[in-house]
This record gives sequence, structure tokens and C-alpha cells, in this order.
Amino acid sequence: MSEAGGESAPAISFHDVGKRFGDDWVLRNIELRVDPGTIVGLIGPSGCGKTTSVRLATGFYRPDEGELEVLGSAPSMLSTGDRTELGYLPQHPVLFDDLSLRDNLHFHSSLNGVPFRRKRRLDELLDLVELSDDDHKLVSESSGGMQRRLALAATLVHRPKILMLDEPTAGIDPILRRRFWEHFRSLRDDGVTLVISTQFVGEAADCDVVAMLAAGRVAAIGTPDELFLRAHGGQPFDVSFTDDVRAEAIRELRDHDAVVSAERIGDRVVRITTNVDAEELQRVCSAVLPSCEVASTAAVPPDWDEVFIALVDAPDREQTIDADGSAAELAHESANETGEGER
Amino acid sequence: MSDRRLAARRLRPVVQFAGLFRKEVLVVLRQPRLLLILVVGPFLVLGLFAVGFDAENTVLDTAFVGPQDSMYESSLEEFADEMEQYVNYAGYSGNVVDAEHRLAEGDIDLVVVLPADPVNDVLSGEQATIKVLHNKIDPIQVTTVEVSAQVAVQELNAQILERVVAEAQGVLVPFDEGIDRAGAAVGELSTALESGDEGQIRSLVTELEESSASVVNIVDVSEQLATELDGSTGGEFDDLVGSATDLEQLVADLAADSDMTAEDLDALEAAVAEVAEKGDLVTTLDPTVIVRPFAGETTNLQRESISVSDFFAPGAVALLVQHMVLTFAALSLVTDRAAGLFELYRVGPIGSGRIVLGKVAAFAFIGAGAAAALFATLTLGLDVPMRGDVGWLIGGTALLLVASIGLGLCISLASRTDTQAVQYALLALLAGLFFGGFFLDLDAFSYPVKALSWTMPVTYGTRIYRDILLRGVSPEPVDVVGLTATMLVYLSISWYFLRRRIRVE
Repeated sequence: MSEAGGESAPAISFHDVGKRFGDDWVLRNIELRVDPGTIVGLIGPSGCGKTTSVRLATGFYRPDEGELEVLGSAPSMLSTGDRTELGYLPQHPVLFDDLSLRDNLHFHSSLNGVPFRRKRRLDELLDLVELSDDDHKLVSESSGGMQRRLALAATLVHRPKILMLDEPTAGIDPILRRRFWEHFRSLRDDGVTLVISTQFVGEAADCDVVAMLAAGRVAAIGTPDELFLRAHGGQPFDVSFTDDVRAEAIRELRDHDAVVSAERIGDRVVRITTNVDAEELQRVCSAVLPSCEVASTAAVPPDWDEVFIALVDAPDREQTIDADGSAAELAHESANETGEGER
Repeated sequence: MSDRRLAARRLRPVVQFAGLFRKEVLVVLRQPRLLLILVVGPFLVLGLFAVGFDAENTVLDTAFVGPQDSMYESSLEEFADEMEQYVNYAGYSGNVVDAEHRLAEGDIDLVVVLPADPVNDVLSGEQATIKVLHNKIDPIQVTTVEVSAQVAVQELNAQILERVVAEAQGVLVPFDEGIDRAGAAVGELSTALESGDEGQIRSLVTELEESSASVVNIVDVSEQLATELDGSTGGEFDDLVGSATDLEQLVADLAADSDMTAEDLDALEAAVAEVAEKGDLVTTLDPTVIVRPFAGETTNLQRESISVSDFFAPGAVALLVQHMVLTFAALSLVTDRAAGLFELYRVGPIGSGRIVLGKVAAFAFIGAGAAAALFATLTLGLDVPMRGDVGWLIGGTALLLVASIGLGLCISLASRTDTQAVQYALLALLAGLFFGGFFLDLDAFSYPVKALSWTMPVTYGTRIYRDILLRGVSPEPVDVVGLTATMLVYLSISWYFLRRRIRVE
């Protein structure tokens, strides 16, 4: 299990947290440290425990094992004042069909104690979620996307310091999703801590730290780059040569210490995964294949689906992230026993 | 903490309360159809009730069956008007099968089968039985039929008896003649005595014997009748019988004694006068009074009479007010939970007390508006009296509203879905109808079932409204205290269980 850490007190910390419903454990051994002013993404398939994790952090559930702290206290013990520092967006928007979008926003403002003079704040949020022109519409007359946007605005209305968002971008078009993430980063830059669960694996790139969940456990945790590198065993590059590359040459590349893998993806293009940078890779290629000149080297952008599959398919690994942000790896006892290493 | 944040923190309860109030009011007001059903609907129900209810329709249409060409037919037609207060006369026939067919078809409500030979029955020492046939299934109607039949038979007996008494009194007419004859004979006897006309004297004495015997017989008959009627003859009849017997004895003595004196004549004259005086008392008795010595006279101490619709109006309003706000409240927390708001209640900076308070205030506000409209319509539109203090009416309504909302919130917390909540609300409405004193008096129930009545706000509301609107008095303290206690209990229960529900699992 991994722990995200820093020098300052964590905004949220899970220590060996587990939660069960009846006899079924839905979460086990969750170790997670969320530092103030970071975006932590909880990513995983449906039923992997994302929502339960978020609900544990909000204080909606109490853990059945382990310790969980938010703002230095067990979430269930937070004072009313501390609770105003939390913003929670449930998976299903809490909206009332017979109220207008603005009235719903008013209601959420009141619930969180936002003082009566709030028009400017409401306008600002409606503008952020692009609902200014539709604020008079009833929720029952609005689309699912509009409801998601409004729900997000309702979560932000009282300027919480910790935001826990359960799949905030579900049902949102890609353009608005991008805008949401921009706003999340902007909030992060203002010191807000965000815990965001999502099924969109690609959104991992927007997080500072990503915890990949599978079957109620943390399959992998780290920065997006770290997870990417870990999933591939190094950085993949597409290397273009001036001439055709022979199969024998590719085998020679694979045998080099700096090369993790190499495969032909075109007559003159080879995808090489390496643990060295692009410049060094060019030197390696020139040394191994003196007859072929390297025309170009391009880093392969992360395919997060592949990353997720690669990391989740190694279920017996626990991962931790050190205080300095570098990724390390701990193996379960079972992995140690079988000698299984990282792929 | 900055001043602004501090102020915001202090104002938070007010802001949250206002937010909940506003939300609940808006949610209700944005559902015009619901409002229409809950507010206008009751007016329609009340109006239809007031317009459609006709107490005359509750009098039973009754056909009589008896021997053809008997005295019954003419008698019934003669008494048809008098019978109207009990039954509507729906004809006479000699065919019981036809009458039963009419009963089965629903043309009539009752068939009264009169005895074929009542005289024979009576002379043989048996009561003549009048059979009453009906096909009612409503126990209240069955009771009405039985009571009506009993009253009608009593009335028939009384009328027959009245005739007998009148005929008996008819027999008493010769009493006057007998007394007159006796008086005249005494007068002539004096003249005959002076002239010494023995033949005339003997003739007059014979006349006196006959007339006094006639008077004694008639007095005996009267005494027996009086004994049959009330079981005792009483002092007046005893005196009359004594005087008549004395007169007869005096005449007999005179007849046996040939030496008649003026003193004997004076005594005879006094005896005749005494019997005449006491006999007059008997002959002036009205047969109706003899047969029906008691007459009922009801005096209502209420200032004004109360119509049926007036009587039911306060209970109807109490029931409608309870049902309306109870339904709103019952649906409220269920809707909140379905919308996921409980998740925010649990996570957010708000407690169950504020939630309950916000909802109570919102629904009480809506309920108060509807109640005001209902009372205005009742008093101004339907002329239901408003005799008591408006202040009490407002206070009672406030208590009824809050208690009903409390009950609704309890229902809401016990319901998993809005369908369940609506069903529970309807059950509460039914319970209010049956056990809340709307149709049936609370004394009609016994404990422990009666305890159910005291758990429902509408029970107190109905009593309080009837006191204020119809009696024009302040509500009974026990009702005010009971309603307040009910309100506090329901609010406490809803607060406690909501607190548990939004507590962290």
C-alpha cells in the first residue's frame, strides 16, 4: 500500500482503512495521504470502492477498521464549523425537480450557511458551469448534463477547503469536462484540496496523485507520470529510422540494457520502451544499429486505459508513494513468496 | 476568525432555517395541481356535502300488508300524515309476495305485515304480531329500522288505546245523564213528598235506584280503565267510587224505608252533588293524555340551532388540515432521501433540529393559508357559524398544524418510498375519520382502541373547532393540553429518528 505524503499535516489520511457492509468487505487496507492543495484522483471501474472511499472521507460512513482523519479529526467527529470546510458532490446530483436551477443553488447555499447576500456568488458559479441563461429553468426541464453542472456549482457554493467529488464529470461533454478540470486545477492552486473519483481513466493525467482502485483495494498509487512509467516499465518512444529495420536489429535492441522492450510498428518505425531519455536513446540506437540512421524520436503519449489495465492486472502489488513523491513498490507477501516482480 | 466569518457562523442557523423553509414552500407552490387537489378539493367536498345532504332521505319508504278490505287500509291512509315523522307511507296491499318483491327491487325500504286477525289473537290472550321486513346490511340502518318499527308499533298501540279510551269515555256520557236524572228525581221527590203522592214517590225512588246504579257502574268501569292505564287508581278515583257507592247505598236505604223525611232528601241531594262534582273530573280527561301521559319537550341550551352540515364542518376542516400538512410532511423526508439529500444532511453542517424546524415552519405556513381559506369559505360562503374567539381558533389551528406535521414527519421516517408515505397518510386519514370523532362520538369506543383517538391531532382539533365555532366557548383545557402534548411527542420522535437516520453509519 502506498502513502502520499509531505511535511505538512495531511488534509485527509487513510491508514489501513476497511469498510464492510454486512459480511462483505468493500474496502480493505486503504492507505492514502492527501496533502493540502493537491488533486487526488480515485480511479477505477464501477464497484471498485471509489464511492465508498469518498463517503468514508466525508464522514458519511464510519470505517470498520483502520483510522481515517480529515482536518485532523475522524470525519464523524468533525464540528459543524469544520463541516462547512467540506464540499461534497454525491454521485447522483441532489436537486429538486420542482425548483429552478437558481433556487436549487439557493437551497444548497443555505444548507451550507452561505449568507443571504449571495447573488454575485451564484451568478459567478452559474457562469462557471454555463447555466447563466438557464437559471430560471426547473430542474425537471433541464438535461442530465445541466443537472451535473448545477450539482457541481452547488458543491462549490460555500468555498470549501476540501472538495470530495464523486464522479463530477460523468455525463459531461468533453469540452465542459476540460473546463471543469481547469477549474479544479485553479482551485488546487488556490489551496483547495480535491479528492475526485472518476471512471474516466484518462482524467488521471489531470490529477497530482492517482490511486487506482480495483476490487476494494488500491492497485496502484502515484503521480500520473510514475504510474505511466510503472505500467510500461519505462518511457515508450516511437523511433523513426531512415531505412527499413530488420528483425535481427530489433532483437539486438531488446538485448540492450537501456531498452525494456522494442517492437516494430512500421517498416521504419520501432516503438522502444526505455528507462533513458530521448537523447540517450538515440545514442543507444546509433550504437546498436550503426547502419540505420535515426530520423526522429517521439515520446508516446500515455494511453491511460492501457496504464490502468497494466497496473490493475497486477493485483498482488501494493504501491506506495514516498514523501518526496517518488514511487516505490512493495510486494504483497504472496508476491514475495512467488517471486513475482513488476511487469 | 474574521468578523465576516464569525457573523456568517452566527447567522448560519437562520440561513439554514430560511433555506429549508423556502425550499419546502417553493416545492409545494410549484405543484399547482397538488395544491388544487389539497385546497380546492376539500371545498368541493364540503360544498357537495352541504348541498347534497337531505335528512328527509333518511325516512324509510314503507309498504303495509294486511287483509284486503280490512279496517287497516282506511286507518293507515287516515294516519299517513301522522306516520310521516317515522316512515313514508308507500301504500297498502294484501299481497306480501308483491311487497317483498318491491323490497328486493329497492322501491321501498320496509314492509310492515299486519296481523290478519288481531281481535282473535287478543281475545285468545296473545299479542297480535306486526312483522317488519327489510334487507338492510348497514348496522346503523338496521338499528334505525328496528327502532322505527318499535316506535311505530307503540304508536299504533297508543292510537288504538286512544280510541278505546274515547269510546269508554263515550260510555261515561250517561254518567252525566244519570246524575241529572238522579238530581231531577231528588227534586221531584221533594214535591211528591210534600203532596204525599205515594205512587209518585215510589216511581221516583225507582228512578233514583236506576240512575244511581248506572252511575256506580260507570264509575267502576272508569276505575278499572284507570287501573289498567297506570296501575293504580289514585285518590280521586277512590273518592269518586266511594261517593257513588254512598249514593247507591243511600237510595237503597230510602227504597227500604217508607218513612222518608226532609233530612233524608237533603242527604240524598248532597250525595248526588258530590258524585256529580267528582265525576266531572273524570269525564274531562283527554283520551290522548290518558294514553300518552308523558310528552317530550326538548330545549337546546345552545343559542342557535346547528344543522347537520354545520355540525360536520369543523370536523371536516380539522380532518382536511391534518391530512394536507401530514401528507406534505410525510412526503417531504421521503423525497429528500430519494433525492439524496440525507447524504448532504449527514455530511453537511446541519442538524436534525434545524431540518425539522424548517419543515414544520414551511408546512405550517402553507397549512395556515389553506386553513384560513377553508374557514373563510365555511363562514362566509357556507354560513357555518363562527361563535367563538378567533384568537382561540388561530391558536388551535397552529397546534393542530404543528402536531399533524410532527405525525407526518414520523410517517415519513417510517416510509421507504413515497408510495408508502402516501398510503400511511391515507391510513391516518381513515383513522381520523373513524376514531377522531368526526362521524362517531368518542364515547362509542372503549379502551384500548379509544387510546388511538387520543394519539391523533384531528381528535383534539375537531373538539376544539366544535367548541369555538358551534358552541362559542373556549376549548376545553384537556383538549389544548392533549394537542400540545401530542405535538411535542411527535416532534420529539421525528427529531430523534431523523437524528439517528442522518448519523454516521
